[in-house]
Amino acid sequence: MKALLLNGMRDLNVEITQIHDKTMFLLRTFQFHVNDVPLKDRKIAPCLGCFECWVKTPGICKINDYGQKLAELMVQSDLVIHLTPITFGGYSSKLKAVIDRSIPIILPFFRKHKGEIHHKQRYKNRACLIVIGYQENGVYHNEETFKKLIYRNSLNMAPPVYHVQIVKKGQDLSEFHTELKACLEEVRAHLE
Amino acid sequence: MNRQKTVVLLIGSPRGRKSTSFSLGNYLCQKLEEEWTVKYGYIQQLVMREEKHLELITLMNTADIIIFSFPLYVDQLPSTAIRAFEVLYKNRTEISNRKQKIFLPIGNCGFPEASQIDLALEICHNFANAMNFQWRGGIKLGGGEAIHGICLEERGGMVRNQIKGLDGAAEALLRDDAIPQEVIDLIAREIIPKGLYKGMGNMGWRIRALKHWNMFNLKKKPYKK
Ligand SMILES: Cc1cc2nc3c(=O)[nH]c(=O)nc-3n(C[C@H](O)[C@H](O)[C@H](O)COP(=O)(O)O)c2cc1C
Repeated sequence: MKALLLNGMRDLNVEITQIHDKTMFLLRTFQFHVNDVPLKDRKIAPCLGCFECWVKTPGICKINDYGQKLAELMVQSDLVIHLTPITFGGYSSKLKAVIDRSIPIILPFFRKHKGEIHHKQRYKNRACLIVIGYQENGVYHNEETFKKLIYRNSLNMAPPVYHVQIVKKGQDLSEFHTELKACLEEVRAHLE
Repeated sequence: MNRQKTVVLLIGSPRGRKSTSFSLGNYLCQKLEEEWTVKYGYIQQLVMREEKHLELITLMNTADIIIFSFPLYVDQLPSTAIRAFEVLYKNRTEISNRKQKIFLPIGNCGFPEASQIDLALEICHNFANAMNFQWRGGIKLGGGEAIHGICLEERGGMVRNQIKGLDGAAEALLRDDAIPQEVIDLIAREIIPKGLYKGMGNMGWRIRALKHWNMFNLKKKPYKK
């Protein structure tokens, strides 16, 4: 089983690092082979909005940097984990750059889903998704918006299993550990 | 008569002047320019390199009204727009009179339902609150690819509701009012009926691919396991 852990932390944060380390520990316990990607050390260009990945080089972004490689890793993984500081209710810009660059893995064509128009999927087997949001205090880090965002992403990206976990600043991580373990059990059951 | 104000139009699309974000923001700003000064900023150019951040902050300092026009990318703002929010929040104490500044986002998306932008507008609202900017409502438009960076007057009848709505939005801003809900709803009306959108949109991608001799290749799976 392959997992891709995308760590969207921009500035060093002790608590996010602890969450990351716990996640890595659990993934290894579940015998995932993990690609652990700290995005703060990577330069990933933003999407150009050109749609060439749909009409010119179908399935491949034309920007030849690590963002291109990550789209490939997303397809090849059984589980993708997004770890991010909640930023005005959304992802950090670091992680969002990777997500924007992942549109080659869906098709341009449309389908109707739950009464709305969405895209069709390019690949039949898609990775499960676990999103871990780290929430500091205040409106900057709106938890409710974040949960809605991940739900909407799940409509577009159609992961077979998805979970959102919020960890608040200063929170004891034992609860997080138990919850993540349960998520991973569900993912494993799906993959077996 | 209003005192002379400065409007800053921030374009959140990497397509810059060729974007639907520009078409919408520019239409609104042309109306406002009859009375006020308008300045333009392109987020992609202002956030990618750290040395440009000061320029972004300086631009914000000159603004009475910030109009932020962006495309929806995977259910929220493009990464560079989030980066701009991060930079502005981090440097917020460098921006004076924040409580007096109005922040008006205009989101456009590819899907026909403008409601798909609600969440991105919520993120903008969270940002405005965190910055202590004034919120007067958010504008949203679906089916943005039908405009594709062309000026609204040229698009003609197809966008008549949007033109009327943006005229109403300009009037509200000039009166120093919130954007009325009827105006927001008018702009959000479907440009292409949802029933037609799927077929027309699918055909549209094939036509675009034709330019690259790729019409029947679009479902390729280069990364198949
Ligand atoms: C990376 C990427 C992600 C996108 N995600 C969405 C989406 O989630 N929902 C949607 O309706 N449109 C989506 N779109 C389509 C754009 O919102 C649409 O093409 C818009 O009209 C572009 O506006 P602009 O010309 O101002 O950049 C996406 C486009 C790109 C390039």
